[in-house]
Amino acid sequence: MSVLMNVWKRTANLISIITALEYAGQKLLPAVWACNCLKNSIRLTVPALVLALLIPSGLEAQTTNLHVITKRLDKTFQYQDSYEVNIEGEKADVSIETWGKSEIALSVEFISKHPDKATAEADIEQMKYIAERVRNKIYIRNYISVPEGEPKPASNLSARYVVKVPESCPVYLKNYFGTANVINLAKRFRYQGEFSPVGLENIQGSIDLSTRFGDISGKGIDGDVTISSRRSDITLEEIKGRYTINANYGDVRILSASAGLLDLNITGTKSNIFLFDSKLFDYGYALTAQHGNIYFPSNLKMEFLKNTDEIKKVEFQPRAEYYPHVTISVTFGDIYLEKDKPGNRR
Amino acid sequence: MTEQNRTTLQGALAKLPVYSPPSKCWDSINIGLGSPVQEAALEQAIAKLPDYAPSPQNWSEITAALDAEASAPSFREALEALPQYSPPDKVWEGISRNINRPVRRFHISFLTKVAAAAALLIGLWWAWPSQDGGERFSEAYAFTQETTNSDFNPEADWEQDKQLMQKAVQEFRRDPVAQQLPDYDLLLSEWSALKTAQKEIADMMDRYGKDARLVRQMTEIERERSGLIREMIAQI
Repeated sequence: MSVLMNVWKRTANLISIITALEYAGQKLLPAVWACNCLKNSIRLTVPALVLALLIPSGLEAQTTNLHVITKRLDKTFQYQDSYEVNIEGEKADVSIETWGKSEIALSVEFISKHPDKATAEADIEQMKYIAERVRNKIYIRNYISVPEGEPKPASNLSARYVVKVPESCPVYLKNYFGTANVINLAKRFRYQGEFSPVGLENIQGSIDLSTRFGDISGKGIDGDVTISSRRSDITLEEIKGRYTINANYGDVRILSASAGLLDLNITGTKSNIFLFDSKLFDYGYALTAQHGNIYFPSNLKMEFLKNTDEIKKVEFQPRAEYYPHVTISVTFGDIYLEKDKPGNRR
Repeated sequence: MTEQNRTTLQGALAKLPVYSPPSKCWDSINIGLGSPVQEAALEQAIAKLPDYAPSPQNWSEITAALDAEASAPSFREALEALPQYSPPDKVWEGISRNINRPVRRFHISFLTKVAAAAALLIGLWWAWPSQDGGERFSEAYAFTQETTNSDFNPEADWEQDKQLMQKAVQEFRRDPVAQQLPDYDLLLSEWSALKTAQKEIADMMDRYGKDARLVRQMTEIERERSGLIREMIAQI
């Protein structure tokens, strides 16, 4: 602040000097004009300079030093063929990946953040976890447990999981307010998420996903796939196998399909459905939009079975003997079929 | 008496054929002997037999004679002259095993108990959360410090327009024109779903703190709620 006061005093002195000069050279118009210009520029610049100096100091006053306490737990289980891993995460970022070992390795981090270190340290102990095997299931779960009469945690708390399993190990993941990333599973994957976006890559076998307020993005998912979503967007790429998707209040975007696609059934309510694929003409279609529209390339010769304001229904069969069936029904939404996905459009 | 043609007789006897009765003969005999009728007759006959008891004097005389014989010098000498034999160890081991036979029965019973206990323990182990043979566990703490410019505990301002929003929903619910809309029920159920979601996020904030991610999720829900309210108002 003393620096600012000095700047202000010197500026005031400078202005008074220029005013005196102005008074002294009243009759010399160019000099008066020059003095006025100089005075105005100083009057405008200096407050701006003072403000510029004040603003960062104001931000500095809002800066908070947080103490971060991390508690890390590692646990390993021997794996057998009949085992299944069940994970129940709460406020947890879960990462599931595969490896060549016949073991299930779990690494959990609990994180507590608070401006007061003692509070952060005390609150981290309120986060509990279970990691145990019961018969052929390995249960992993985290939760908050506050003893009766004790105050609730004041810190920002979260958990982070890294789970490594053999690729043939079935996994059932439930996640509540967090994120999940899963790669390379080959047998069975079930997911139930709420307020948790999930990313999947190279997953095969029986796949059952259910989500609410959590977007799904997947690449290279191959198998019997069932997806039920509510208020979540679904984006899938390189799809294979049989798909049954039920979406409510969320868009479904299929960015591309691979050669192994067998069937694609999508039902949407208050959802828009997008199918982008360069092989659009190779599929058979049955599309229905109630209180919505169907958009498709003009050279895709769809047959309109119904075309009213309320309902639109089209069908198409390719000439091939065997082809994947695409069935899409939406209510209060639109259907879009396009050859190029958004990033590839010219 | 001497047989005159002994050799001839022996030869003739040796040539006699041997007959063994068929097995059913023995079976019949066995059945006959073991039949209840036969046994009853036998028991009746035994019951009719007279009982004879020796006089007490007989027993006294037998005892006296035995005592006299044992105390006789010739008998004692004969006893002393008897050779002494010590049995091999195997004999004692055999005797010992026979003596310990009741104890063995105890062992069997004890083993049964042990087996039952083991079966119980295996059952508990099967049902109980178990520690894997290859299970490994470790725990560690770390401390760091981070500086943030964001508000650690932002104000929960999402409740400020609660009454206004509820009023709009009530108006929409009662409006006769809105009630004719095809998505009338859908809008109301959506409102209910968003309200539930808002409460869930608020609960999480209460338990885990108001971190940026939760605030962002709450913001999205509030935006959706605002959009829904605008949609409802437009229909009234």
